[in-house]
Order: sequence, then C-alpha cells, then structure tokens
Amino acid sequence: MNLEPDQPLHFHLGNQPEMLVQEFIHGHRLNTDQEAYMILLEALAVINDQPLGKHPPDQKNNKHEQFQYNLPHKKKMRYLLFKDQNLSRANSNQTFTKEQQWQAWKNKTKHQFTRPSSPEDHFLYLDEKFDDLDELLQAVSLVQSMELDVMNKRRWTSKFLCVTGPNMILPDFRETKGRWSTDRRFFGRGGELVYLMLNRSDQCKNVQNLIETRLLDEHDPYNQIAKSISPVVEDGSSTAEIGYLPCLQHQSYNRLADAWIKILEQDLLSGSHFFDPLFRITGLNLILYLVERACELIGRPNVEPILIDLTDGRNFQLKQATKNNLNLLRDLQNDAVKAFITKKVESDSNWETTIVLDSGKKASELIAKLFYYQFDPSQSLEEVTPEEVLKSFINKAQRRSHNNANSYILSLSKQIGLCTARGSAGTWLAVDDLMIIALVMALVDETVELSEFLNKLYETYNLVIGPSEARKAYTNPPISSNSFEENLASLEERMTKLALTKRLSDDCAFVINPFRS
Amino acid sequence: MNNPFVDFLAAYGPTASSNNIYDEFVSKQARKTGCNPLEIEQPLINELYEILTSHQPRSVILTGTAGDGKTYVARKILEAIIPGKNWENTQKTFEISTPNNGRKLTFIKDLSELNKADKERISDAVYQSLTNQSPDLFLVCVNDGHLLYFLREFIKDKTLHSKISNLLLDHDRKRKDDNFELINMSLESNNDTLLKIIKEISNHPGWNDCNGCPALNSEHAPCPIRLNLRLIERDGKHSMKKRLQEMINLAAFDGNHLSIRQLILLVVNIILGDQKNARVTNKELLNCKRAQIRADKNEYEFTNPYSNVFGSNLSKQAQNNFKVFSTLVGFGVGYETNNFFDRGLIGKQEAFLPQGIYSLSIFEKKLAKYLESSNQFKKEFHTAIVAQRQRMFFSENEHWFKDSNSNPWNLTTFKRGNEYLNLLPNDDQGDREFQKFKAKLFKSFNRMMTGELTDTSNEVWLVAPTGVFAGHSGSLLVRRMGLHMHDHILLRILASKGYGKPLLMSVELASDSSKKVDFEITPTFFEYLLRIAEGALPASFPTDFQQAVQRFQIKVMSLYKEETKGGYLSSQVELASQGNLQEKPITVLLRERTL
Repeated sequence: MNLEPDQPLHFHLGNQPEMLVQEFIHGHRLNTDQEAYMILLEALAVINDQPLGKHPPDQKNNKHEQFQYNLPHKKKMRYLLFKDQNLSRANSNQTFTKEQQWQAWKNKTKHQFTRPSSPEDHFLYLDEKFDDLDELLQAVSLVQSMELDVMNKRRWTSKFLCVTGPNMILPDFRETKGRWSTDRRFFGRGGELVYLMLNRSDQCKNVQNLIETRLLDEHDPYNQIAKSISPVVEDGSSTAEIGYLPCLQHQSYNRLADAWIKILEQDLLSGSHFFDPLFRITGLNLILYLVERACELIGRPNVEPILIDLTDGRNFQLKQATKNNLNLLRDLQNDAVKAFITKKVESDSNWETTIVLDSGKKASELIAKLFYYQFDPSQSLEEVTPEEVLKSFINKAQRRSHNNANSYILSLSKQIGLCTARGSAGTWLAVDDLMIIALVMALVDETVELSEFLNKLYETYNLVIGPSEARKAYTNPPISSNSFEENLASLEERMTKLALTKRLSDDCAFVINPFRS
Repeated sequence: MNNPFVDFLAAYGPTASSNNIYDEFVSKQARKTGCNPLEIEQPLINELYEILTSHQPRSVILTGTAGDGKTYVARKILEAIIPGKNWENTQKTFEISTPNNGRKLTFIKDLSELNKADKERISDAVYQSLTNQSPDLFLVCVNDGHLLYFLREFIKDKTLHSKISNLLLDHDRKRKDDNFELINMSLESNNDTLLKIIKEISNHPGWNDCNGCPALNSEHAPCPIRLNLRLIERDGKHSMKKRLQEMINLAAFDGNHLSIRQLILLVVNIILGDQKNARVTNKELLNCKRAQIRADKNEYEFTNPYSNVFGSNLSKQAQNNFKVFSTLVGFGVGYETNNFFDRGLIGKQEAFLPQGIYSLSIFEKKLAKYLESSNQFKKEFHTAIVAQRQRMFFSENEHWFKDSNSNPWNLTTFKRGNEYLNLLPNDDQGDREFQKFKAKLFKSFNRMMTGELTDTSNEVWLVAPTGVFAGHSGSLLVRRMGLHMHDHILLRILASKGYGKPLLMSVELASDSSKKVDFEITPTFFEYLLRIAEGALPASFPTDFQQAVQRFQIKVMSLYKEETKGGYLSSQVELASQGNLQEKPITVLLRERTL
C-alpha cells in the first residue's frame, strides 16, 4: 500500500510555488533542464554528504525524511579546471625559470580568481604539492579529461566531472558578484528524488556500501589527482533542504536499488565505467515510476507495457506502434493529473457546498487552497460554474510548461537512449546501443538464453520486444507477430555487434555480460 | 540421353534445402532413382558406436545446427549396431537392445519433432539416464535451443540445465561427463569435409551412365556438367577446391560454421548451377536436357562454376536463405579488384584471359559488345567482368601468389586472407610469418587504445578506457606489454587450435596462468587491424570492433589491478615527436601515494 507521508509538500518549499499537482503525484520535482546524467550527479552529491540510511523514513509514523545537506562550492578546483587561462601560457614561457613561471602564474591568479582582486595567495596550498607548473598542468589536464558532456559550453560554475571519488563532485551553482548560491536548473532536485527512492528501498545499506567502494572511492587515481588540486579545507558550501517524494513505499524503489546494485557489482569495471550505464538505468527507472504512479492514480489494473523498436525504424508498422505507445505513456500522465485533481477536490467536504451554491468563486478558492494555486484576480468567476472552474484548472495543470511529467517523459527518454527523434520521421521509442549495454549490466548476472533475457526485460521493465512477451503484454497486439519476430532478430543482430550475444546454432543464442568475470 | 544420377544429385542441391527432413528426403530420392545415396565418411560414427556398445556405456546427445548430419550419424550407428536394420521415416523413436552390454538404447531422431505428450512420457527416463540413475541409454538428436527448452520445461532440473548450458557454451567440441556425452556437431572440424564430398561425388558409379553420351567427350561442345565436375576435381596447391577450402576455414574462424549439408549443396550447385532461368522456380540446376542445350547453343556463361560458387544462379532471396551462399557472398569476390587484374583482363592478356570455355570464349563477346556501345551493354558487361574476376580468384597461377599486388585475394574483401591462413600452422613457419605482422598488429592496437596516430609498434601500450559520457578519450597507462617475459604479465600470440578457432592474443599473469584474457583475432579483425596500421582511422570501423578492443582493455586492466593490488595507473601516455608514444609519470599521484 502506498502511504502518503503526512509532511505536506509545501513544507519542503521555500518559495510560493505556481501550483502543486505533479509535485503531489510524483514528487518535487521533474525539471526538463536537468539532464539524465545530472540527476545521477545530484544524487551522488547528496549521498556524499548524507549517506543513504542515515535518515531512514519513519514508516511507522508516516513521516517523510527531513534533513539538510551541504553542497561544496569547490571554487578553487573549478577555477583551475574551467576558468584559468594562464597556466599553460605561463608554463610555455621559456625565458623564465621554473620558479619564475610558478610566480608569474600566481601573480595572475591574484587578479583573476576574485573580483575585485586581492593580494592574497589563494593557491598557496599548491606550493607544497607541486614542484613546478609542468606537474600542475599535468594534474589539471588529467582531471579536465574527466569532464562530462564536453561539447556543451556551460558557464564555469555549471560544468561537471564524471564522479569516481568524493573530490570529483561539482554541484551546480550560480555566481552573482562573487556570491555563490545553489542553482536549481541543472541540479533540479531530480537527484533528490533518486536519493529518497534509494533511501526507502529495502537494499539501502547495500547500495550505500557499493557506492562508497565503487563510485566514491578516495583511492581512485583521478580522485587522488583532483584532491591534489583542491585545498585541504573546502572553500565554502551551500546548504539545501532535501526534497519531497510522496509514497513512503513503492515497488519502483526496490527495482531502482536492485539496478544500482547490479551495475555496481560488475567486477571488471571500475570508476568512470559505471557512470554511463548508471544514469541510463536510473532514467529508465524514473520513467517506469512515472508510468506506474499514473496507472495507480487512474486505477488501471495493469501497467502499460513499453514497446520498443530495435529495427531503427525500418519496420514502419513497428515504428508507428511505438510512436503511439510513447504518446499513450504521456497521455497517461494527463489522465493521472485529471484523476488526482478530481479526487482531491471531490473528497473535500467543502466541494459539495460549493456545488450546491453553484459558486465559481468558492470553487476557485477551494482549488487555490488545495493546490497552492493563484487564480488570476482580474478574471471574473461570477458567471462560471464550479465544474467549469475545475475543468479549466485541470486543463492548466495538464498543460503547464514545467514540472510536467507529460513532457518530462519525452525529454528523459531521449537523454537515456530510450527514444529516437529524427526530423520528419518523428519521435518513437527505440533503444540505442549504450542503453542495451546498461540493460545487460542491470539484468544479466550470468550467461542466460536470449529468451530469458527478453523475459527479464519484460518482467522488470515492462519492455516488449519479441513475440513471446507481446503475447503476455497484449490481448490485441498492435502489430503482426512477424514484426515482433523482426524486432527480435534486429535486437540480436545489434547485441551481436556489441559482443553481448553468442549464437550456438539457428535455434539457440545466449546473452553474455562481458563485464563480470 | 538422360542420366538419372544427375537428377538424384540435384536433390542435394539448393532446391531441397527448404525441406527440413533432409536425410529422409534424400533416402526417398535414392529409392526413387535407384542411385546410391552419398556416403560421407564420418569418424564420429565409430567413436559413438564404441561408447554405446562398451561395457561402461554412456548416453549421447547430438546437437548442432540443422544440416550438421545428426540424423545421418544416428542412422548409421543404428545400422552399425544391428546390420540391416532400417529406420523408417515415420518412426520418431527407435528402441533396441545393444549386443555387447545388453542395455536398452532408445534413439530419438529429433526431439523437437516429438509432441508434448511424448516428451512428457520420455522426460523422466531421459533424466534418469543423464543423471546415472538408470542403466537405460539414449541417443538424442536435438538442436541446442530445443535441448535447453526440453530441460527447462520438461525435466525441470536446474542443475542439469545449467550444466548443459555451460557445456554448450564451452568452446571444446565435447566434454566428457560421468553420465553422458554431449557433442556439438557444429564444432566438428569441417576442414576436409569438402574434399570428402568432392571425392564421393566424383567417384560415384552413377556417372557411368553418361557413357555413350555424345557430349561426354565432345571437344567443342562439352557437357557443362562433366566440365564443371572436372574443374572441381582438379588437385593442386592452388586448385579451385583448395581455395574453397580456405574460404570455408576463414568463414569458420569468423564464426560462420557451414554444415555438411551446406557444403554438399555448394558442390552440387557448382556442378549443376544454371543461371539462365535464375528467376524460374526449380530450374536453377541443370539436368541432362538443359546441359545439352547449353552446350549446343554455346551458352556456357550460364553454367559458369566460378560464379555459381556464390549462388549466382539463385535469386537474391534464395542466396540469403542458404548460409553457404550468404557467407561466401560476404567475401565480395569479384566486386573487389585492383588495376593489376582489371588491366590484364581488359587487355586480354593470356595470363589473365586464357583460351577456354569459361574465360576467353565467354568474355570476348561481352567485351567487344561493351567497347562498341558501353551504355547499352554496361550491365551485361559488369556481370561478365565480375564472373571473370571470380574465375581469376580461383586461378591456379602460382606466380600471382608471390606478390602482394597480384595476389588473387585482392579480388575479395579479405585482402589478407591467405596471409592470415599462413599464420595459422602452429610451427616455426607460422611463427616466422607472425614476426612480419607483429609490428603492424601492435601499432593498430596502440592507435585504437590511445586514440593517437602513433607509430609505436614494438610493444602494446594498454591504456585505461575512461568511459566518460560524451567526454575525452583516456590517457592513463595500465601497462606496456611486449612479446617477452615481464615481471607480472605475459603477452603471447597463439596460433589457431583447430577448426573455427582463430588466432589468439593472450595476456596472462606470470604468477598464475589460469588468470588470463584472450583476444580472438578473427580474419575480419586481422583485416581491420592491418588497415588501421596502414593509416585508416579506427573510428571508421564498426562498433563491434571498437567494443571488442575496449573489452580487452577492461579485462586486462582488471587482471593487472588484481595483481598489483591497486597500485597501478601512475603514468600518462603522450604522443612525442616522430609519432612515438612516451610515458610520463604522474608525479603528484606518486607523491600522494607515498604519503
């Protein structure tokens, strides 16, 4: 049973929100600007400060976790990595001795690290660790090589590193006139939702242990180098309040934790290799959570299957069917919004009176109270019925431009490689190679038959590819059984190219996870 | 004049393959035409006969792809145990008592043909036999997929299921188990099967019925069937059959095993293929009447055995349906070429276009027409020149093999095909050959792993792959490895261990040889690696290739990590002047670690 914790959502929100609907349904919040990999970064930033399990949810008293966490600014390391332009210049000045080079660089930083400039030597700590600029430059460029999404030119306070140790965590900040504050654009609290999900899972402790040894490893070489260019005492941090996730229990939490455990258990991999599969599988779990929540609220007995195309659009029927499937998954979110609002309004004792009085104004007052919404005061509500007010509010909630699961599903599935968007051909559900690799890591412990892998994809993630799963998922399959066969053959062909399958004969193929010994 | 053997032989051709009870189908045709069926010697028959009739007999499971000859082997064993015993086509199981040990032996011709009730009925007895709980024996023929399905759904014993899964996945041909013998016939060597098939067909008494046919000994208009037979029979180091054997071997090294049935089909198609009616069903093969017409009308371009090797007498779809043709077409023979061959051909030089029915005689006309009106005869000429290149690929001209430019393998996508084959013998010659390629292979690996256009080729510089999302490539050095003993790690290149087992690059711990990583250098890989060494960019090659190299990096890294207890990754790889890689210690890391 899903219990909604008694801490109301607004408790977690400092500012007056525009409206709270999807936030009540799914959590706070779904921000399309926060890309899938940033969700993982944010989750790791919270975990690094407040380990999972440290603040267990109070299931007995139905209480939401409540705590604050710190996000380090890492001004100096960020400056060295992403802002300083003098290091290589000073290092290549051949007329200077090594010492002169070092001093020349130091002098420059005095003017550039802070505005207005201060005579203070901000980078004194480097003197002990590096003999010359050559060594420093080497360390800086090695850490730079861990930058994520390099083609995307963001400001220096919003650039990120692939996390392989605690010193590599760079949260998203905004700098105005030398003052640093957390920016909720790229760290849009999606990572907090993931944190809370893992924190509420049965395997919480196990996940935490694996994260500590596999992802936040102090001894990872890149982390050691990052540490060497960071000051011993951190140069400032900001505090944040943990976000809101409605259900204290949900089947998707254990599924997410299980996927993290499986991926982090790949014994042949280390450090940065976990990052890509982990953010993809986290994104997939989030999508499934949104779909399941929507189905629960609408009262659908079964969760909608996710049909995916492996033929890269070659099979037109299949492509169209997955397009419809994607639209259906998104429409479910609108249905859930409607069901949620209607139920909440109608179960309020004041609604009946409002209906009897037939007062649009009263209706708007009730809705404003329930959903923290402000109606436009210039609009006259004298001539409208409560039902009309309700209908128009539902419409607004379904069409809101942000924090909307409807559009979030689309952007998230593109980022994790679950859907393809191609100009005039449109957007449809089709997994890319990296997502296939992530799925194999998350589902295959030891070599299994291909049919068993397909079964796991369906049982765990509701993903439908071949004919057997189609038979289980649909009473009236949307496409012919031949198309499912073709889809399956394409999956195998692609997995073979990725060296993930081994075919023994025309009748038998195995899926191999090459990242486990 | 009509020779019934020709029609019988056609039953083995590409038309019959869609028939999934092939063995039975052929037996029926044999009775119908009165010809003796082809008998390909199969050493496995004796071996299994011994096992089943010994005093400590074991049950046998024969798996493999359709066409590997499972039913054939089972039938022959039955005939060996009880001479004269006939296995009727309708009998799905066959029960006998073995003479030497008096055990009950049940043959199951094809487990997948049994219905659900039958499977349920036998499942317990099969289980008891496989787990040594009963003295009864079984010989089960079944595809591996269906075998696993049967174990999962009917026998329902997880231990046995995973044991058999592992045996199937094992690279070895078979593994002895206390209670049963599991043989994957797809891993049986097909190295000389082709030669056995050619010999069997060529020595068949059925050809005697050609005696008296005027086309048999005609010089000007010889029977194309007998002409093709003579071409394929020919012996020699560079004979057509030798070249075919090499192609079959290369395909197997690339993981494309061709079953006996596919090879018989190939030989029959070479002898009987007829391209004239390519789109007309059931007429893709010659019979005596059509052979006579081709000879009379000088239409030998349609019976060209060098292009029928690739199923040119079949529709594209039919080509794809037969693994032997789709595999051989993959060699791109005739569609790849170089100036050496094309100039010689167009210039009608004797060495390239000798006198002969399938050379000068059929090409001259096409060339003349094309020179007259290139637009009108473009397509026809293209087909003709491809066919000629295909003929040249099967050339016996020994001189051509001595120079890389004139090597006939240039007419295929496997330009290094014969060089790969030369590397294989596990002896001094193979080793010497390998020395020639070592530098190039190492250079390619270095280019792939570092992402730099380096020329370093004396060692493999193993770099840690970063895997950073949309980021830079890595530059942390794991280990430099050469072909000599190191303190920790041993890099070796191992020759093929037999049919279908490619060249291996193997890295193992000096302290514990059970800890090792094998990298299979298949012919396709070999081709890519050499091209990268010659300047092609690694990123332009397929993902499977890049993935495989990355997996190799990851595995060796893990091996090394274990050995050094984490104290590794302390230097960086840089590209120095003259394209050499150089190692640069990460001073700060070394300092941090000593603290």
